[in-house]
Amino acid sequence: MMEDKSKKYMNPYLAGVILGFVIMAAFFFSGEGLGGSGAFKDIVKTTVTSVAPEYSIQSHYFKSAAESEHSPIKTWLVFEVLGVLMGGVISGAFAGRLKLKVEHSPKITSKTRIIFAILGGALFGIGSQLGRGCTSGAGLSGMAVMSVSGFISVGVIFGTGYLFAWIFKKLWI
Amino acid sequence: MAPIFEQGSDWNLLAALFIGIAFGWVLERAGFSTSRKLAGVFYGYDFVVIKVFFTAAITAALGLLFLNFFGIFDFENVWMPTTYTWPTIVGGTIMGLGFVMGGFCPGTSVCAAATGKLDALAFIGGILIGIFFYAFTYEPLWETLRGTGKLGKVKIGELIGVSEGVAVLIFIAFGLFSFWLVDKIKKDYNIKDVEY
Amino acid sequence: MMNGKNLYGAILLVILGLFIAFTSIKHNTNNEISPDELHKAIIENTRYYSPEEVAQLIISQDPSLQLIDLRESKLYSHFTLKGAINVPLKDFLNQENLEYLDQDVYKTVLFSNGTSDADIAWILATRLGYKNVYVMNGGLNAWIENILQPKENSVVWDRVNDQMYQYRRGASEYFGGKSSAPEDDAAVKKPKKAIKRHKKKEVEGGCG
Repeated sequence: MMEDKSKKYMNPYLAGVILGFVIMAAFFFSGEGLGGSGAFKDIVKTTVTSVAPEYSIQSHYFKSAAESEHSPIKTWLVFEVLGVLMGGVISGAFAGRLKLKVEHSPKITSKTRIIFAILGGALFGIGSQLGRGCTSGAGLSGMAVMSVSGFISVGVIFGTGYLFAWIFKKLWI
Repeated sequence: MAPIFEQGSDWNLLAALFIGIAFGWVLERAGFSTSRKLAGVFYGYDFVVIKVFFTAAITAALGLLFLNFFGIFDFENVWMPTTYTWPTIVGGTIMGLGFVMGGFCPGTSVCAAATGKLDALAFIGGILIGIFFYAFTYEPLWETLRGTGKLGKVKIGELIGVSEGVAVLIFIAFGLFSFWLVDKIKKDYNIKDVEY
Repeated sequence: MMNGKNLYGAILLVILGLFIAFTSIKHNTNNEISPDELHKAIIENTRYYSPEEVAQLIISQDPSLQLIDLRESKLYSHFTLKGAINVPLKDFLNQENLEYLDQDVYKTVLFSNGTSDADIAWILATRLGYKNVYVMNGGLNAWIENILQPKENSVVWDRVNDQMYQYRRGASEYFGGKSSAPEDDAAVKKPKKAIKRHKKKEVEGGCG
C-alpha cells in the first residue's frame, strides 16, 4: 500500500530539477528570487498603511510602505504567492488530493495541531522579517545566486529544527 | 538580456503569477502540501525536503552560472540578498523552531492550504499574527538587531576564496553526499514510513 | 533511491559542475556596445568639456560632478583638480574603480596631462556601456595654460586663485626649486590686472 502512495508523488530529484528551472525562470524573466514570507509582509503593510496612515508614516517599520507611490500590495511576491495557491489547487485537483482536513499525528488532537500550527506560523512571521526571508526566499533563492546569507539561513533553520525535534516528536509520529 | 520584464511593469506581475503557478504545482506534485511529509526530515521518515530543496538550489545555481557563461544573464541586474550575519542567524533559529512546531514554511503552507489543509490555513493566520507582532514591536525589539552584521552582497565563493564555479562544484558534491547519506540513514536505522 | 536514472542524473551534474568550475563569472554582459556604435560615438566628439567648462562646474560646486584623474598617484598627490578621484589608467578596469562609472547620478569627467590618456579611458568606459562619461579637452596642460596662467580672454581666473598658489608651491618643491614668495605675489597680481583691463574695454565698447 505504501508503494502506491509514493508513486502518486513525483520523484523528488525530478521535482527538484523542475523547481530549479522555475527559480531560473524567475531570475531570468523578472530578476527576482522566489519567495513566501515577503507576500505576507506586503499584505500586512498594505492593511496597516490603508487603515492607519498617520501611524504608518511615523513607524520605522511601515514608513517606506506608507511613502511609496503605488499600493504596497502590487508587488511581484504577492502575485507569485497567488500563483502558488493556484498551482497547488491545479495539481491537487488532478491528483485527487483536494480535501478539507486537519493533518495531525494520531497521538494528538486536531485542536493541538491547530494551536501549534498558529504558533509555528507566528514564529515564522517574526523570524522571516528578522532574517529577511524564509526558506524559499532567503534560503532557496539565496543559494541559487550563491549568496552567503542563503547558506547561513538554510543551515540555521534546519539545524535548529533538528536540535528541537525531539521535544515536539509527538506532534508528528 | 535578463531580466526580460522591467521591474514594476504589469508584464512582470503577470510573469510572477505564472511562475508562482509553476512553483505551487511542483511543490504539490512533490508532496509538499502535507505537513507530516515535510516534518519527516527532522525524524528521518521522509527526507523529501532535503532531496527537493538541495536539488533545486543546485540546479538553479548551476543553471544561472551557465546562463551567465553564455552571456545572457548578469548577476548584477537581478535580486541578490545582502548578507547580514546576526539577524539571519537569530531569525533562522526562530524559523527553525517554527518549522518543527508548525510543519510548514510560508511557501508550502500556501500550497497546502490550496489543497484544503486547515492546519495550513492556521499556519498562515499565524504568519500574519507574527508579522503584526514584529511590526508593532519593531523599534524596541528588533530594529537594532536587524541592521547588524552587514557583510554586503557576498557570494559563498568569495567567502571561502574560490571561484563561484568551484563553489557550485563543491555544492554539488555536498548535495550528492547528503542524498546518499539520508537514504543510508533511513535504511540502516530501519525507520518506518508514516501513513498520512 | 540510487537507481539507474538517478545515477545518470548525478553523473551529469558532476560533469556540468566540473565544466563550470573552470569558468568565472562575467560582469556587465549585456551592456557592451558594438564596434560600429563605439566608432560613431568617438567621431561625434560630444564627450569633450573645455577646461573653462570644468572650472565653472567646480566653482559652482555642481553636485553631480565627479572628476577622475588618470595619472600616476605620485603626480596626483602633488597637484590635482579640486575633489578629483585618482584612478591611474593602468588600474582603470579594476572592478572597484569601474564602480565609479556604474551609476546614473554623476557626470564623470576624465582628465590626464594631455587628452590622449583620458580619451583612451573614455573609449574603454563607453565600450563597456557606461554613460555620462566625458573628457576634459587638453587635460591639465590646457588647464594650467588657460585657468592658472590665463591670457586676456579668460574670465573665470581670479576665483581659482588658491589652486594656482598651491600648484606653484608644489611645482617648485617638486622640481627642487626655491619657493619664490615675492615672485608669487607679483605673479598673482599681474593676472588680476589683466582682467581689470579687459573689463574696462568692455565698458568702453558699450558706451561708445
